[in-house]
Amino acid sequence: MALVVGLNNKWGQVPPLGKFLDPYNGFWANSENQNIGFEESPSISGLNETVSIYYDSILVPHVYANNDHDLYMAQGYVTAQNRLWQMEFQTHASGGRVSEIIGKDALDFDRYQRRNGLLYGAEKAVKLMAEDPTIGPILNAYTEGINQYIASLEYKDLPIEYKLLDYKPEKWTNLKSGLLLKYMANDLAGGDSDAENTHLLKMLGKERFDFLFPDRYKDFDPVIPKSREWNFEAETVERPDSVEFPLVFPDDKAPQPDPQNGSNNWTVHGSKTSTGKPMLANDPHLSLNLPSIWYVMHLNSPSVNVYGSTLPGALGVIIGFNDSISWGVTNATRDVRDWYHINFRNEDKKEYYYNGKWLKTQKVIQEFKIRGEENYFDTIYYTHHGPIVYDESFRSENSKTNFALRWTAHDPSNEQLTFHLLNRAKNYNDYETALTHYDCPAQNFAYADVHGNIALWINGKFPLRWEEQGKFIMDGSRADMDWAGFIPREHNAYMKNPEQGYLSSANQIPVDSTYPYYHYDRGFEHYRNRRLNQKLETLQNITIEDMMRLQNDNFSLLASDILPSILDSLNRNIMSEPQKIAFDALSNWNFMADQDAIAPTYFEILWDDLYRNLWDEFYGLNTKVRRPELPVTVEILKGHPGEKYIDIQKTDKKESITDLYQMSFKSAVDSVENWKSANEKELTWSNFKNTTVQHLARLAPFSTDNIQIGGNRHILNATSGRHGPSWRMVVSLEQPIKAYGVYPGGQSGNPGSYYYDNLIEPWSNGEYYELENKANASDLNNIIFTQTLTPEVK
Amino acid sequence: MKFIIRTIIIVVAAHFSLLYFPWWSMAICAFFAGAIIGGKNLSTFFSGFVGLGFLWLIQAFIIHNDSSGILSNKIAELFGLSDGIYMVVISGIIAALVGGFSTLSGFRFRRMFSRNKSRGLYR
Repeated sequence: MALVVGLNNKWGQVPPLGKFLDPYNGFWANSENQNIGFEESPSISGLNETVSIYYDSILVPHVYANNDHDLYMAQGYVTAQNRLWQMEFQTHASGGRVSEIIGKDALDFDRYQRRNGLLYGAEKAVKLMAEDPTIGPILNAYTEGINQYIASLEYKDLPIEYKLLDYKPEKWTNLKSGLLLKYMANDLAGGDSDAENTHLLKMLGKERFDFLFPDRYKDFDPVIPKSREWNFEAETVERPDSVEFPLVFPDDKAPQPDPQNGSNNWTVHGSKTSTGKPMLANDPHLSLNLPSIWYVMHLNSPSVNVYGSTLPGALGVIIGFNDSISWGVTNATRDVRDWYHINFRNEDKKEYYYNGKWLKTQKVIQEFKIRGEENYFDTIYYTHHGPIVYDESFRSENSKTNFALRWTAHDPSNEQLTFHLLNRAKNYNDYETALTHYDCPAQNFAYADVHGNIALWINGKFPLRWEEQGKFIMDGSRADMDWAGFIPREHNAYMKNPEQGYLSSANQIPVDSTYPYYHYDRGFEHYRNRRLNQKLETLQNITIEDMMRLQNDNFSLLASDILPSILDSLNRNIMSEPQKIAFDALSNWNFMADQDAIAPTYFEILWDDLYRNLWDEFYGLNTKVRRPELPVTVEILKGHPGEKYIDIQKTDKKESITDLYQMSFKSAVDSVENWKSANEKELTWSNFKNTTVQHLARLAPFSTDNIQIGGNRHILNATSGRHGPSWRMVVSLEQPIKAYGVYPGGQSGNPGSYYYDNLIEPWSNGEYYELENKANASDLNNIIFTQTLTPEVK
Repeated sequence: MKFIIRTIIIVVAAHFSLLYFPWWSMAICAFFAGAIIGGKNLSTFFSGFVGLGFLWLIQAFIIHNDSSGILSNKIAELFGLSDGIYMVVISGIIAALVGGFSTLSGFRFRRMFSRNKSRGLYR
């Protein structure tokens, strides 16, 4: 008896063994391999008519419904059938509920999620979506579809992660869809450097700060070509006479999203393609995870015939194409988060000082369930700016300072409507209308259609700021520090059918200095975009294969910028054998970070070491600062030999740039020799880089490591160790449209399925699958499983 | 003979019960088999031990084999083991222990009951 009870319960990290090892119901039941265990004709209550779903050879579902209600119900059902654990886990993460699953280790993370306002923003967004006559009903249908699937599950059918961690899925809600959208907003627009900048301003003074952290870099190549003229009357906002940034900071900042999160997209006019019709390419760069962030679907109803990547938990297709248009997105890198220093009247925090008056705060107590422990309660105070994220109970325990966050992700918005309309867009006007509903995270929406148009809008809700507003922590008591409003949507930068015949974006600076609105970000990308535009400028008669080659392009513009001057300062005659090998490899390198090359490894270590030595003054400080971006680093190395940072503080010697180069070269060779003796693998770039697609719960056996692929940060093929192109799509706007895609994962979320990670290898080889959005199911190729959802007979 | 009959009953009953009920239902099957069919301590224990042990061992092995260990190898790695076949063995051992003790418990339950009855007669 005790044995049975014991084997039915979780012991520490060990799942309940009896339950878990049961070959009939336990983990064994999840061993699918190439079998497809879906129910063939589940009956679904609430469905109006039969929905047919055809799974092709890579398990992409082609969903055919007779009306939109049924279509989105089926999308919910099918997505849950493949990705339920991931959907719930990501929304738990967004809503600050991970402690419920893994215990108190996640409490700090969860508290930040709530304080950062993801739940707060999601609640507002869901309210707006529910009220929308278009989105409201289909969002309900989507939620219902997921819940119908969840209701059909017994222990045996649960995704493996539930069995391992011993918990059960709860009912899906519209709020969870809202949380998923905020999860993305945080991933793409949830970082800022206001506190770091403020520290640096205090440390360096304004002049040095501006030199080391300029708003725009030399040779910048903006998203919207410099040829664009701004023929509108811009709204103005005056910089207040006496701007003084309060030099106060929280003790520490919560972890920020990966600054590498970004993407490439471009679209080429028919005048430059082999078909005479436009082409479009998009590859969003995100953390490489399993199950993949994307789930690919083809959705067909009388109102829509769209194919592309979806986000499990969100309606419709996010990046894709239909019969008339194709669109793709990259992150429109721009600061949309500002911090305000708040003074409370007294300890009860009921009032704070603003504009000569005491304003009331709103107090919200958040409850956190913690697995195996008592619940935790956190009090969050809201000001008119937004929530107080940092205060004496969270990362400001010592300084006892309070900071409120103003962030566009907190405002009610209905991004789902944009995607809904894009999925159905027939022409440029439809695309333009769709974009008007989109706020955050701001994206560069590339567009191409079968009528021959190409366009790119930098689209989102951007605060109307005076020069430098929001670059530093601001005084929360001054009304003139508040945002005056937003840049009118029609003044957002865009371009349609430019003379140059192409448009592209890769997270670089959006516009040149003639754009009449202040725009700022801490770190615009500066390499991928320039490489891309150099290629697009010269290429003619572009084919689908050219587009694919560009997505897989491994050329390192950074290395080509700086490596020659490094090599010039080295003397081969006085080198050891391993140093000579390294020197020759680097000298003969074509700057392609290919998987089998060895030079990229030397360069990677050399560059990291050089960067650390140059900016050693910025490491190991008690305060949180950031270090200058790469373009400034390169500029100083090449053109400012007298710069005082070149000296390494901890040595007595006064180093020159040549000294730094020689030290870094030596250290790179030593590191490589160490790596060689510690690893059995051959020294190649991919072995050293060890690209890994990691399971969301960081379970190594459910992850794939040492993927043989080239590329790196700041390279078009942006595949680094844990980060890279999470979906690659190339579309040719012929009639009918031809499209190709691949992603580093698989359609199934089940680690016991062949379809869990079967696309990783083709992805790493630069291979693509043809994506066919046939209007008639009978024209589909390679169907391996058919599922029919039937309305429940009452 | 009783051993063989009891073992077969346990295997068949547990197999069908596991198709519809949670894993511990097999312990109930074993318990009743131990209680209904008499015998000796050792013989009843081993009926459950061998019956359920082999049932899980064989079922797990079939899945391991049919799926080329796609999941069992990964789970084994999570448990710090090198090959999914060890998960087959562990599954078998767990079921064997549960089976053995359940059948024995059923048998002891029956004996407790019959001893009480006989004690009553002699008093």
